Amino acid sequence: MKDKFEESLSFVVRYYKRGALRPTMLFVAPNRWRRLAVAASIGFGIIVASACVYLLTVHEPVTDSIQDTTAPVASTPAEAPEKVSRRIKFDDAPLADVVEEIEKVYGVKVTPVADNDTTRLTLSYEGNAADLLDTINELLGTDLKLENTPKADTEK
Amino acid sequence: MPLCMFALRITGDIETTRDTVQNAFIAAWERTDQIDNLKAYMYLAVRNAAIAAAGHTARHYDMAHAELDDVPQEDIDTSERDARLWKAIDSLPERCREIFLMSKRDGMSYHDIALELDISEKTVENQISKALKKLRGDGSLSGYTYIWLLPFL
Repeated sequence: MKDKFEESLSFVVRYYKRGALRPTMLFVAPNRWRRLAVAASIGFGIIVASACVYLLTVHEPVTDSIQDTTAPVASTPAEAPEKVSRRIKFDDAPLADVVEEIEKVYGVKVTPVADNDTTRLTLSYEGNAADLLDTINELLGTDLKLENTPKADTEK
Repeated sequence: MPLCMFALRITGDIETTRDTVQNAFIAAWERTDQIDNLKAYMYLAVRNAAIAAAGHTARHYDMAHAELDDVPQEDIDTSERDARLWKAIDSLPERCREIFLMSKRDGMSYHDIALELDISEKTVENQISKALKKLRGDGSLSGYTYIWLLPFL
């Protein structure tokens, strides 16, 4: 046994180099690094995908521009005033006030309504002036129309 | 690890050994369903690959064994012993290993080592005997612990 020990010892000592033959690294390392790379890229892909989803869902509502009724009418709308979409709300409002409000908000001229008209309107609406008038006509049985001379200024 | 020692005896070069053994593992991986005895297979595969890589000049291996159908058990035992020793040297403290290698590998006298490292010869002697004890001891650890326990029984 002693000879074998000495023989082995002299052989090993001759070639020994610190860290030259790490046993586990020989076989496991290539797989381990590959596995790590795969896991990392999957994780990255998930992060990117969820970021995209997040951005898309947050972005959507912003594309429609919703205007407040109290906001002043835009000075120079690109489209025809009666086609511009606005949000408008009436709460038990007399028809005369409704018409006045529509004219103000949409920058249009509407069939005048007598001040003593007792018709009242409760409505939340989002759309253009033409459609709004159609809707009001349907609801109240009125016959409001857009006058063909659009208001140039916001004054009433 | 023993496989590496085994291959090293044939090739005499660490780089070649590493490549040889790694390739043998990968090749075996692809046909594990065909292998009954993995250990025997690996030794055979590594032997043949190492001989091919070394070019028929095995430095520390009996070439008469190279033609056999199987790798003899004694060669396997030798490789396992070599692996134990390598690992034991690995686990030596830095200084101890350095002194040990200077003596056993470089053939320096205790005196020369002491001069080189600026320490006493006694220190050199102690370190080397410590190293040898560790290297021998790792092979039969149970025997040593048994002897140590005896006084307490």
